[in-house]
Amino acid sequence: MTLVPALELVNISKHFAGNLALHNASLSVAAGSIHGIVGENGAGKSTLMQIAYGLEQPDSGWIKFDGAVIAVDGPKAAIDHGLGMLHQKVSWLEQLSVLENIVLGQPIDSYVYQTNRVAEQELQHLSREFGFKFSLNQIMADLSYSQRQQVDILRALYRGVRVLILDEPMALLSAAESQHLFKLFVLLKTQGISVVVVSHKLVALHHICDVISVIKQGEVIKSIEPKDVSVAQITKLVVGHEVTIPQIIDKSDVVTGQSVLTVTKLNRYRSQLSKAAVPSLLLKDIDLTINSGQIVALVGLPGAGQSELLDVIAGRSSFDQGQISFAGRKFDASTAYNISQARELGIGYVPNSVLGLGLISEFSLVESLMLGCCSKKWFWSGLSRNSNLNHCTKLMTQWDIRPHKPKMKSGYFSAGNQQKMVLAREINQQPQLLLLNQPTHGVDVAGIALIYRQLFELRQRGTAILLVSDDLDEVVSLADLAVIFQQGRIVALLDKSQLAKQKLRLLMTLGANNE
Amino acid sequence: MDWTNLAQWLGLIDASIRLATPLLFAALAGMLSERSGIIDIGLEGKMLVSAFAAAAWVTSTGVVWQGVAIAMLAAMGLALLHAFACITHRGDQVISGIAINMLALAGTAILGQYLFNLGGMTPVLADGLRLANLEFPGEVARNDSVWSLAYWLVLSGHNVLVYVAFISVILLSVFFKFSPLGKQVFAAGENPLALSRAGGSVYLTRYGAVLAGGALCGLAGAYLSIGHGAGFINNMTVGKGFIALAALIFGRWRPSGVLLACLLFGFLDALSIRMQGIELLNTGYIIPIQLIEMLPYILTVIVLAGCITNPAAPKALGRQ
Amino acid sequence: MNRDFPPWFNSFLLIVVNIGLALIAGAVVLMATDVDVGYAAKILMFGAFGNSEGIGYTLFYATNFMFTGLSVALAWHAGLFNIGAEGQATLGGIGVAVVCSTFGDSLPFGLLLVLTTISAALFGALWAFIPGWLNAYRGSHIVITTIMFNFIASSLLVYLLVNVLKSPEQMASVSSIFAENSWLPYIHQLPFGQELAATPLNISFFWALLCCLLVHYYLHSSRFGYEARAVGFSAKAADFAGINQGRVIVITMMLSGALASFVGLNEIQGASHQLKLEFVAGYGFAGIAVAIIGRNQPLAIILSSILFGALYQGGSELAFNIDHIGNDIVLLIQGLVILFCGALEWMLKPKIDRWLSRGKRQGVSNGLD
Repeated sequence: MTLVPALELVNISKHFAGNLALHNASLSVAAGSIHGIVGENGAGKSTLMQIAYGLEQPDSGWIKFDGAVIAVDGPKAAIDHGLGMLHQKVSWLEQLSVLENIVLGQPIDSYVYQTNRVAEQELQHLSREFGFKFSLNQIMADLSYSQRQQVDILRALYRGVRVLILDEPMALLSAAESQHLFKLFVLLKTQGISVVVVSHKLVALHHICDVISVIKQGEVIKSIEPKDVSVAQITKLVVGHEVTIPQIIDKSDVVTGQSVLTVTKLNRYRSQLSKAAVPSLLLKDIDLTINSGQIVALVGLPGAGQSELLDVIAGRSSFDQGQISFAGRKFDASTAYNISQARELGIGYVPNSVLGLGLISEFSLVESLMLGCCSKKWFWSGLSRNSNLNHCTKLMTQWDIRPHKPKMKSGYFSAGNQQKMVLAREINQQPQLLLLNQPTHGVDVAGIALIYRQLFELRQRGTAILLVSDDLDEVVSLADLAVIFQQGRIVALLDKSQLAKQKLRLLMTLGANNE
Repeated sequence: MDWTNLAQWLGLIDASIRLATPLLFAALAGMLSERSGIIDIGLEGKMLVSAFAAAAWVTSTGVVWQGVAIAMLAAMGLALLHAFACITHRGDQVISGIAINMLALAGTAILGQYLFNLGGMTPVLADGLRLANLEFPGEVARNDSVWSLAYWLVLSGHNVLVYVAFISVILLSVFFKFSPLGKQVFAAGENPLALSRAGGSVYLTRYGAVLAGGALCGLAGAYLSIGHGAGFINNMTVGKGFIALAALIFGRWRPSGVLLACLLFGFLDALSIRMQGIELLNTGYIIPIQLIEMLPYILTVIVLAGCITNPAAPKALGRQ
Repeated sequence: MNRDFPPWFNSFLLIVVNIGLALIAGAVVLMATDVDVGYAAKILMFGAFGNSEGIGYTLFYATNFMFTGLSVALAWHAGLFNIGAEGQATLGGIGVAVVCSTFGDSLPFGLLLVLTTISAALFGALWAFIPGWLNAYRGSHIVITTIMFNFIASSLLVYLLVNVLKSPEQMASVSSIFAENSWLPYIHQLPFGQELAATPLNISFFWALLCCLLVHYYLHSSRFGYEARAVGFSAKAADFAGINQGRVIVITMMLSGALASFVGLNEIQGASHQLKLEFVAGYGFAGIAVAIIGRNQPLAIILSSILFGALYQGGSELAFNIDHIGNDIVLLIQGLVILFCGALEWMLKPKIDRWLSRGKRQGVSNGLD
């Protein structure tokens, strides 16, 4: 192993519209190492990596590859010097094949006509060497998330990557897929390729990394070797203080009431645009009952059906067979309700913040607060300014939403604050059933604690809560009951005494049909 | 028109091809631009400006092929403006197109009046000053048989630019299917993020596509004023640029689809001309000429109403 | 010292600069066609504001622009480009003409005015309804459909004037002159306007101002306006919030069409007192420029309408005084305004921001507030 670091970022500073995102941040990645990068949301991790890859330009500082200072003015320059980057939201041309996608953006030999035979052979070779399990001629649209990730890695290898950066690679992977990824990292390491992993998953990083760097408020405050410190100590560095997330023990004294929502034999087919001749089912034979004062978590791999069920219950999607009973009424496929009707019935819905459905960025926070509510209450001149403003201010104080400017545009608030706002709004409607999809996505640790406290309070008051979460720790902390989905079916129900993480992972990967 | 006479039908098809040609050039231009992700409402303006440029140049210098080149340059100039506003400065693409149309209308009127003092038009061009028609070689006799008419009316004898238009369709088809540059244009319109992360330049790709589209529009305008027509008349495009846009949507942004759509519009246009003064089903009611004039526009609306939301549109169209 | 400009100042300055660019570009074109720019500018300014006749005409044109500008701006807030104000105004004129020629001398003026307003609004709303419905439920591109409807409207007007409403007394394709009972009072006929020169400026001017206020309140204080803006900013989020997107689009387009239709009140009932060809002489397209300069805010549109009114009035004086300039120069400047203020809107923004923040240097914050 050489002593010259493969990648070095020196004194990088960057600001966006007056906000200092990075302040003299320095990072050194050794050749052939696995290097983890951790930090809170907004600390600057992503920005630093984007600068390394040339997607952003630093205000000051420089970048060195193998000891030489290089001006990285775009991804092409970064790629030329052996840098590769995998983004969390993998972005491909769905209609084209794997081969065509990998070849895209390469220098063009012939503008008129070009076959990809040479590239194809080399890619086959690399694919075999690293054990990838897809065919080069498959259409991208047919690949799973983890397969796409592998295509991304293959492309980086094809371009001679020396330092591979991955931004939150494990967020959407199952435990088995994560393990496979870690093995891949080790394989890359033996080839002398450095792997840089940006992630929130401290436990996993502690397990696999040679070095972990902690970023806080735009600076790399410390780089440590995991063998010297514990996960808790790293957490303390990241957050600045110890944070306790309320444990399951706090919840045992709530008596769950009668059933609030019952789903019976629900089926939902995929929408007609699918190419498959036989219509395939998104949801099969779903039977579920949720009681008041109960927190139920729906868990599964992406696409397994938990989000889809949530959408159906919320009234956002229709279903094809079966029945939903709620608020004393029964709904079947033909009499199903839509979102606004669901709201009127007493169902609140906090959507996945990634989709941008909860708030409208251009609206002030006061105006965003009115979305979905007060549908019948006001007609003309109904936007009585003062009462809405007071209401908004009250909520902002209660939920610690900063900065304290209700008239500021919603989009200017941080992702975590936006999420808190949406939650505040929905909870304020006092729903009988609250639905949440990834409730703490993008929220920092302190915000997560606040949200959990609010959810427990709701539970105490008798609200039924149904949530979908990818974060197994979150499920363990919150849920009275976990419902495991696989390929559209419910395969297991676990109550809180059975909620040991190992069991969950096993069930998700093997799909065992036990109770 | 005698609906049973095959010869008249062939004449109709002949006219359709002639009327479809400017639409085809413009629609292909729009296709290039929109495939790379840039909306192009300014087809009308570019056609107008190039029609004027061609006619003005030929009137002044007498050299016809230069007129075509100047037309292409003029349209490319406006295309450059559009690209500058939309790509470099991320301006609103629809508004830019509207501005270009307005500038073209006013600019051609002002320049036309200043240069020729004929109320905005250019002097009528003599035959020698227009683009030639191409006749196919061949031993086919000229008589009234179906084959003869099909050969001499429909296939041979069209203006040179008509053949250029049809060849363009084939070239663009090949371009998108086989050329890596074509795939880049496709990527810029479908998923620019993927293209830029892969190291390609969305910026340059879009500029190139918009400029190439401008060149095609130039051919459309040249055909109008010095190919099909005999000089420039004020606002001579009368909405053809927008009809071309409708043809693009109807043709699902593919060269083959666009070709068929333009032929359809050309056919309907030719049909409506033949229906002037015609009695409606022997009732004695003559279709008012204004209705005939409205027909292309009404038909465009009907065509658009029939295309339910377009999953065929390039996914990143219009988004920055 | 900490010079802090209010946040809207940047935008205001940017617009002024952009308008300046457009005017400079127009001046360049004038120079290229052998016109003395200084002389032209003088004629333009004096023609628009120099005497009460000029001011009267300026405000008369401004009335039209307020209607079409509001029409475009209202639709814009819901995310729609209404390029069809031209055709909608035409239909509005037809609506007015139908009522005036039928009831012109049989109903009291007050009732007649109510009827013409409603009639114009209905006709204009209808013309905008079809493109709106097609956009909402068939996904048809609203820019193309509204432009098509412009062409259809102008052919329709020709048909009506040649065949149906044609005046038997006159050779030209115009309708008969309406009964004087139906005419809108001119401002110079009103008690407070007696000293003003005789111009077509009429009471619809006040209706235009009122409409600006009403649209302002509609957008910012009413539920429908709120829903329209929500749809305009994020159709997905609005749909999620239970807002019926299709209904919002259709209602917004109808209101937009109704606003544009009131040009008919000003032109037909207020000025010419008969239906003529091409009476909407490009006012619909000018409305786009007016809305852009006014940043689609109804109150600012009052100002930008007056600016464009001055441009039109000054421009016609220019055409009258200088030989080879037609009204096309005004159209050119209009296009330049749309280009610089609309498409190249942000071209100079970084430079202006930097120039303005020079006074703020001492107060640079550390990012937290």
